[in-house]
Amino acid sequence: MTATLPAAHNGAVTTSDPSAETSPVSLTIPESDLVQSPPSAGPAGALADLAGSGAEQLAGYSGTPDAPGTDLQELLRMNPPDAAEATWGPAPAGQPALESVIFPDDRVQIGDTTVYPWRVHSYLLIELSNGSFASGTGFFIGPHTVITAGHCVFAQGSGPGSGWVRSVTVMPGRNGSSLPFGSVRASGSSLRSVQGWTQNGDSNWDIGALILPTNLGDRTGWLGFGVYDDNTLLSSIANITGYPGDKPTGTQWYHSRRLSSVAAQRIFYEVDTFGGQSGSAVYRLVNGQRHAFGIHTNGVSPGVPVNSGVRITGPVFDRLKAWKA
Amino acid sequence: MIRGIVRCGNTPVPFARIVVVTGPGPMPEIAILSGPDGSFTVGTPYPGRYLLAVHADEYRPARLEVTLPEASSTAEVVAALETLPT
Repeated sequence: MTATLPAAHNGAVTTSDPSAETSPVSLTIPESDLVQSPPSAGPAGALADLAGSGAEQLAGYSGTPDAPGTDLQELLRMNPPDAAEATWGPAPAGQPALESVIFPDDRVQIGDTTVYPWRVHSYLLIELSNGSFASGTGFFIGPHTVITAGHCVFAQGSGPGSGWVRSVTVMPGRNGSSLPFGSVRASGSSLRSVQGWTQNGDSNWDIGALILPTNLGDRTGWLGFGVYDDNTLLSSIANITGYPGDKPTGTQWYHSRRLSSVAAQRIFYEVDTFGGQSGSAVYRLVNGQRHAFGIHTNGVSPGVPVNSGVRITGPVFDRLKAWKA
Repeated sequence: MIRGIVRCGNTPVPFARIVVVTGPGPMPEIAILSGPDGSFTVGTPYPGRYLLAVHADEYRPARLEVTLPEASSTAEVVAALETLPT
């Protein structure tokens, strides 16, 4: 048995409506013009926003949430040291040294994933179309809706494992071998994405959803999500938690920093991530309310020395709200 | 594409996590899991150098560098892991 990594695409091909929903089956789509959807902490056991810093308050976590936002052009001129380089030595000659864990590696493990908001975030076990497996991250935005990256439900490319995945098993708040909320398997019409991803391979539309057959979100709670202007985003702390592949299997890790830059459809940040965190929420914490404003999709790449995700714009918001219904 | 096997000595290592740490273009931050026989495949949409990280519980992580002359080229690799001292 083999496992296949879906290829990233930045296709410039457009359609009349790249936000139009796609699924293995035909679907009818409701619309909305709201710009913010509320969170829910679910049953008792929520973490408070004690400091009001915009970052989660965790024992042993210092992070660098107060570092000023860095302009992307400035970052392009930089060559920041890398945590991996300290571990494995310098990159081979000619090899880009930048990686998605950006020095210093001050990620912190979530010890109690049964508490809100950590239980909202889910380990995703993805069975690709050829029967091989991969892992990613997703987050609840409603009782039965988990949002993730488009490439966690539809693998681009023509190689083995490409196309719609066979299934995604959602494990909210997974903590190593512990599944405090059990698991739910989504397949077939439960898998959703948009034409901008499945037909065009446009990274600006690398979004997906899992419509679960149960209301498991009533037990975990969910994040809100919203559309914010550039200035609001650039003054926001980007919080990301998920399931990085360089840590023990199924353990959840958190990090936060101010956003580096924003573009019309993408957001850029130095928040540390690693393969396995695709589909993580990029969220802000203001007045105790947690709202996603992006979906993490990519690590660093040549010319983009920071991590990045899809920005929740008006059309993305509409799609998420329809998926939440 | 990059096809590989994760093993420790002659023993396959299943459910190892294979990640493209850096590539010649944007890559999704997904983790590929090795199969029961330790095998895996990484799609390569661009020609150039790829740096893979291989992680598995109770093993020392490994890195592999692969250069593909064309995106359609196929490379075969072996990730030889060592157990962590107990």
